[in-house]
Amino acid sequence: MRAIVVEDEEPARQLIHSYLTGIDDIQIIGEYADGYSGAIAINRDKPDLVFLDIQLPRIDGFELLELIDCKPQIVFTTAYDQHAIEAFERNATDYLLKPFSRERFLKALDKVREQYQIRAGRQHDSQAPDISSLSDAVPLNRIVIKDSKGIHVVPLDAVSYFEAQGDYVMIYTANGRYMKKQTLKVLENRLNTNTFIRVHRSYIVNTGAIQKIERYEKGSYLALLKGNIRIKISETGYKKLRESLDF
Amino acid sequence: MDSWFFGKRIGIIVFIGWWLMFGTIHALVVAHFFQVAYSIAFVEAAITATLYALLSLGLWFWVRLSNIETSKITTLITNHLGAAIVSIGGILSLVNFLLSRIFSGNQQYVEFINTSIPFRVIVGLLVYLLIVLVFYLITYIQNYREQVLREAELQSLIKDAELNWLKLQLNPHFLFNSLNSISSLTTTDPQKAQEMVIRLSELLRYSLKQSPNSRVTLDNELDNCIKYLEIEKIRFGTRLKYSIDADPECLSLQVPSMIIQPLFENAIKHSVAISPEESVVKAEAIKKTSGVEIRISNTLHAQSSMPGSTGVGLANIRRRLSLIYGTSKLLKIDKSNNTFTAILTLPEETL
Repeated sequence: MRAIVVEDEEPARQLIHSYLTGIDDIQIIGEYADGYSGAIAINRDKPDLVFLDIQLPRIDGFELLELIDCKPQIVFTTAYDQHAIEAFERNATDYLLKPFSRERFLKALDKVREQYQIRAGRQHDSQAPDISSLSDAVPLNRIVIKDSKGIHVVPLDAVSYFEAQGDYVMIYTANGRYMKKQTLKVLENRLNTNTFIRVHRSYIVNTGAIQKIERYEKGSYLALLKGNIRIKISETGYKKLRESLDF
Repeated sequence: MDSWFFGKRIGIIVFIGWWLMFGTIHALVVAHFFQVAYSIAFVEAAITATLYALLSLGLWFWVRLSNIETSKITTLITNHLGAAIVSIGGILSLVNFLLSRIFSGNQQYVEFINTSIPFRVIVGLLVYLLIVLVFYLITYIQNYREQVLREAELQSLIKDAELNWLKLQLNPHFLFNSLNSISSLTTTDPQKAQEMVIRLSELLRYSLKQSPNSRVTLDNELDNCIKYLEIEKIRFGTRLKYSIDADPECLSLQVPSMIIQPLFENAIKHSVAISPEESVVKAEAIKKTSGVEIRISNTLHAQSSMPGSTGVGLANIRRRLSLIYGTSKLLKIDKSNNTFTAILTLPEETL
């Protein structure tokens, strides 16, 4: 099996190395100290297994999972993340709480091998890390997007609004727009409902970006955003805005 | 609390018993010393005692509602003197009026009523004084009891705070990551592993020894920060560069313990921990006329402009500063170019 280690601390990487000495069926093909280069390498090299820390520079472990197109097995290695444990239990082959013993590490490898056999039998129908179930546990404060130009990290307060486009979401910022494969519903669950309000079937708006709200037709309104953009507000959306902005 | 006196059955019994006793003594005195018939004496006593009892009810609420600690003693005395004159005057006029009406046929008694006015006034004023004193005493005792309770509660709150404080200091993420590093170093570099265990132990001992209010010298505190930074250096390797520069004359100043280390922790959290590139954490302690200014700066990376990410760590420090010094304005933040600087001003304390 080909493995990639994404871990920002040198001693922690060395530990995985030393635990792997004498184990022939797993080769480390790359080590990366941040989530960004880790994501790129995983997409390029398509490893079978990733040892993944959660708290990483640039892009964290959860965000990395959103960015990869292949489905390697994930073994999380983390120091302290009580809330996340529950969430990634379902999404990862195993998780290791630092510091972990060699025995515990070998146990994780057994699980990996077992999964590997199952996957080999099913060929392409491999089990994908299911990101959507992370939604409640991990609140969002920025969005990572991968497109043809590369990986973008967009802080939430730079977003003026989101627009639903089928299974995709279009993210509008002052500097441009990005498309991400995610439904508006899933996204809505992970956003802070004080700042981001679903004002319409197709729109979630950043209340900080609203400059004016005008009447459009009977029972519908328009929000005027910075940059002279107008988006539709439904009647329920208008109610939610009134509650949140207190007008 | 206001209802304590009358709310409890014992309060009502004491109240009624006291006025029954007062009435009885009044009747006996009048009958015995002034040769008034017992029947008349008891009617007089009943009327007088009832009116005084009503007065005392009113006084009770007045005493409870006025705060003896905040009001001026002279105003208090003037107020009570005025109230005493008015109320006693009123009560005695009413008593005299009622009794002269009831016993209008008894010329001798009506005369007695009129001649005994000075005596009644004196007794009335004494009764008033007694009522007020007893009520103030009750209030005082109750307040005292409440204060004792409150203090006990405060003590337990402080204990809780101390426990929370320890939890706050031992950032679990830092602790477990360090232990993981040690675990790794035991095979690759046992010498370094030993060093790290010793540093970590010293760090833990230092934070366990301190309580939220204890003071240490700046020298001590910075020494502890260096231990912390050295551990982080093992974790982050060459990515972390740090320097500490302190005016020698401010090293002996007393500062709250564990107030600077969290600032380093914050600096690391927002530089080294989020960027794979090199980050520099720089600290300066500058002597000022009224204390010491501590500036801790870190490299600001492009991604570190994350919304809402700075704040939680700093909010904790601010809360402590306001508990210790009564103001949270001692911590200022400066963001310029690619540097984030926390500026902490600690006043010189006279011990």
